[in-house]
Amino acid sequence: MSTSTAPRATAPTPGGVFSRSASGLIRVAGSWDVFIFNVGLVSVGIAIAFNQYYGPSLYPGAAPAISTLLAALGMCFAAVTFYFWSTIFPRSGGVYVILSRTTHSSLAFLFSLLETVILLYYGALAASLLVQVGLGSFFATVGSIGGNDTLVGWAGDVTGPRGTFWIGTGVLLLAGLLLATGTRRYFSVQRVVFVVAVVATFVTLLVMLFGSRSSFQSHLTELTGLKYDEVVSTAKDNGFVSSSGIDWGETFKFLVWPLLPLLGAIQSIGIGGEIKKVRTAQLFGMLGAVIATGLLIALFAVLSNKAFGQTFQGAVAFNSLSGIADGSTEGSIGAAPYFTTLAGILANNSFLAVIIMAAFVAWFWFWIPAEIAYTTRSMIAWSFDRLVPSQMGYVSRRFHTPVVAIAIGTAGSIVFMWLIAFHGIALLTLIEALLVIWGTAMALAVVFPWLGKRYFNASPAQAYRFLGLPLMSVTGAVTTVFFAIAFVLLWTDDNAAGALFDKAHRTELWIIVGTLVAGLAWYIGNKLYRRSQGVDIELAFRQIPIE
Amino acid sequence: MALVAGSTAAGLTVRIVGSTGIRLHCADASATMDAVERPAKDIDIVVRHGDRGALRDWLEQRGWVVDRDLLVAMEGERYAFHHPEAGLDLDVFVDKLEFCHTIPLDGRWEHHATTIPIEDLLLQKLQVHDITPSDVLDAAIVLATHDVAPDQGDDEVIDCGYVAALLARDWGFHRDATENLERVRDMAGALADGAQRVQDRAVKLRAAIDDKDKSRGWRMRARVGERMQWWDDVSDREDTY
Repeated sequence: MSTSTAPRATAPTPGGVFSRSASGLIRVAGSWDVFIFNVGLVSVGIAIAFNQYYGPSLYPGAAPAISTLLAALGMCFAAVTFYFWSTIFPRSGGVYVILSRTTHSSLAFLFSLLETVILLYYGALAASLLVQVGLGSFFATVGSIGGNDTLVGWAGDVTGPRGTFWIGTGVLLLAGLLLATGTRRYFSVQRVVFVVAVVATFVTLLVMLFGSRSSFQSHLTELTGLKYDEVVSTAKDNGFVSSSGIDWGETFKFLVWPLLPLLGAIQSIGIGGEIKKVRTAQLFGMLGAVIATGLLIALFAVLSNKAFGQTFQGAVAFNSLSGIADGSTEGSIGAAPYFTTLAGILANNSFLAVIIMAAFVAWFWFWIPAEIAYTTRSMIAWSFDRLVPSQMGYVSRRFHTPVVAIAIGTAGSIVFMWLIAFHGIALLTLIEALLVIWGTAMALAVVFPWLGKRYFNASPAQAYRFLGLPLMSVTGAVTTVFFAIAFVLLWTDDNAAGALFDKAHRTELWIIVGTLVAGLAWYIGNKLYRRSQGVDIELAFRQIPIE
Repeated sequence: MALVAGSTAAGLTVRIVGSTGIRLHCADASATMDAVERPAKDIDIVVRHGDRGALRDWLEQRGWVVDRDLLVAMEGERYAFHHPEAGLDLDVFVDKLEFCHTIPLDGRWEHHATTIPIEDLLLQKLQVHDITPSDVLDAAIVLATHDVAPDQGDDEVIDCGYVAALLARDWGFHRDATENLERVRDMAGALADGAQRVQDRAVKLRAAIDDKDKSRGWRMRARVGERMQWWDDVSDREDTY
């Protein structure tokens, strides 16, 4: 039965090893779904919160807007390179698919396992931010505006370790439950949340655009008792350094902060096999997400400086980070001076404050199920390649979804939720490992047009050239350099991450080393066990020859 | 036939679709299709939503092996099975036929004991956006062997009212189906006999489609026209993982 057009969206597979002839099928994700998936994984809310909290306070003279655009520019090259990969291997499973088809399966498994652990951490981080930056700021500002001490008290309660852990865990369970009910429902819910996020973000933009510095100053005093100039002088007395102009060195150093959320813009590689018209959808979804969110985040940075003042943002965040209670919002309304709190103060209106918080809660939410979804795809891919027990890819007869993989992903995130709430993990340290993993895929892209000639020539990627060279190689090389620079910036910046081998990062080091050692032991044990059953797990990978 | 008979005996509602359905449904179809060298390629069936789990069990008990890849990717909306001994492939749709355009099967299960109703077999061919000559031929065979008339309670007559009503709700489906119907008319001459019947019935069906009042959604979508894609993209079935 023929039900469709001639083959066009996917590359022919040499030798037919991975292809079957059968009736066509309607894949789940369209272009907009991919775009929303990636935009959600960027999480504009997290980017703005980090930019405006850490930028002016820890990087004097840095211009977060420019840092964001620099990070976005680098990510454009990453997006194009991952796009090429996704047209060559239009499959679900993320970076595992790329590495397992181009390097040794052991490396692919180890890196994919580590990537999974890292992304589950960031899923948990988003849940913690939803509580601390979203709900905490919501209760604090709405309570202050309405003169409701109970709400203000809740702000302190929910942002404490126990509140963060339990509410964050509830959010993670909700995300897992949503995924367990099916990908179609997940995408439907995300579309609705996306509309909420966009509309509420637009309202927030208007608040920022029309809100003046003077009204912010008066609302600040009215709602928190803090005086604008005193906040700045308190910070300066305690060592805060402000800068009148742009410090380009600090601006460049700061790009790792907006880079963290922007890395999410390419994560639709994890669902490559579920995308309709992968050639157009992935390009629109990845590149579109980088450009759209990069510009939006930069715009918020400009508007924040206009409404709050760069020096004030730096000073109040410096006081917050330094634990100077009388110089920050924690002491008066119980919430840290994240963008959401400051915007709520600027609005000085309960309804607008609710809208602003809704925008940020929606953005934070996006990250959570998407990160878990990405990791479940990796687990299923391992399962299909017999690197883990087939039960990991078990599909529930009742829900028709891979409930075991979803449960493992959700449980892993909850473990990280506990670590975040009660022990604290440096925000960006794990990104160093992620850059190595993804950087490997980028470096492989440089040589793949020659090493994997048959696949490359059979894919749409071969049509794109720059100065006679395959564009995939060029963008892969640029991204490799970009990731290397970002790695060095992270490694040498204690504010963002710092060297992984420092004493301060023992937890992160053990997470990474422990994952790699456990993964290697598992890989070897599994290989021996499969061999005893007469199964050579390498066979599946040998079927795709590298020339 | 044995597949449907067996699963029906087990209390399941299963119907054959596609070219195999046309062969089984149309008494003269097999001979005509054989004459133009159109052997059946694979088996496609559709199962009622509530019976999908039981059908999977029933098939697995008989040696069919479910495609894990599709099991994960389609989340119960679609299955594929392979029978290692018989070397057969079986595609299982659930509750509706979802291709370039969707054909719902609510209330359509009782029209025929083995296949989906004749109208839906025809629509399954007419819904294809980039139709192939073999699809056009299949549609022509259905028209050559079945008269077209408003519902008369005869399941062997194509109910043009049903087809028209379905297309009156969906501008995109209407757009492709009517264009494909013209192609069927053009290709009718390729049939050894019955060319005039096909043309007459295609005209009759088109008239019913044109006469049917269109829904508000249809009219709104018509204003947008071809500036926006009107069909769903159907992918070749490759492994998802």
